[in-house]
Amino acid sequence: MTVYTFRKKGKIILVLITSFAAGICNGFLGAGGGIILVFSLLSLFSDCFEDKKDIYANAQAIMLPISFFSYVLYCLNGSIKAENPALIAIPAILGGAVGGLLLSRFKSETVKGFFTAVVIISGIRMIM
Amino acid sequence: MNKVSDAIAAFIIAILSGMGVGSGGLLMIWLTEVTNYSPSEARSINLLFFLFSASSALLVCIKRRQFKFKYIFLSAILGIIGSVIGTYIGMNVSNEVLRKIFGYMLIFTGTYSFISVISKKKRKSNTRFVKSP
Repeated sequence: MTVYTFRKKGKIILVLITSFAAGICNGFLGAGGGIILVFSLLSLFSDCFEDKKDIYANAQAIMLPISFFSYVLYCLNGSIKAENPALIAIPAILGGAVGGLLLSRFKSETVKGFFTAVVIISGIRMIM
Repeated sequence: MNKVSDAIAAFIIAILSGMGVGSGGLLMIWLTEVTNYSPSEARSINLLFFLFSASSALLVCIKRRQFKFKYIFLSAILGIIGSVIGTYIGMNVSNEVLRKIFGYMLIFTGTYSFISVISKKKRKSNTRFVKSP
């Protein structure tokens, strides 16, 4: 029992450390924090969630206030050119809702495989 | 690139990110590679985009998903502290350096996602093999 509690506490501390790292990454690059969190939650707490999709939802819930603070800080610094936020907000809200509904009904492996290839190719283009 | 195509791209990318596809960087790729925004502009647009898309995705699935609110709260507090540090670093880095670091991040996250997709497919085919008589 004590060993179990100790292990659980250790896992929680690791997730908190990765949340801190995800915050740094998200604040610095504006992206990438979510995947750090998903990776740590999948490695440490996959047994605590009935469905893997719950891990994505929890990671998103953690990243939401983190991204909000990063955005506010960039606003306060004057680094943001507010052209027309509605142009991003409306498709983001509609698309996010559709994606949230599809998350439960659609197996996304094939789509994911294609887009991760796009991500890798774009990354290579950026460093060259 | 016109505003209509930007809005269509944002809508499609929001659907994908709501489904957990894209490694968090698809909009950044669209903005920097297709519409020629600077990486620092793309970063702030991506943050704004995530705020709206994640909020609506969470609202849609909040009743169906299992949330650990205590850990979400603790993780978010530490993440916010980290984001203050990250934002401070981000404000003092040139666009060229930012672009390179973002490129490395995309390669890393893309490779990780790709490996997880392949291992999931392998696991599925192994299960099918065990089940068959």
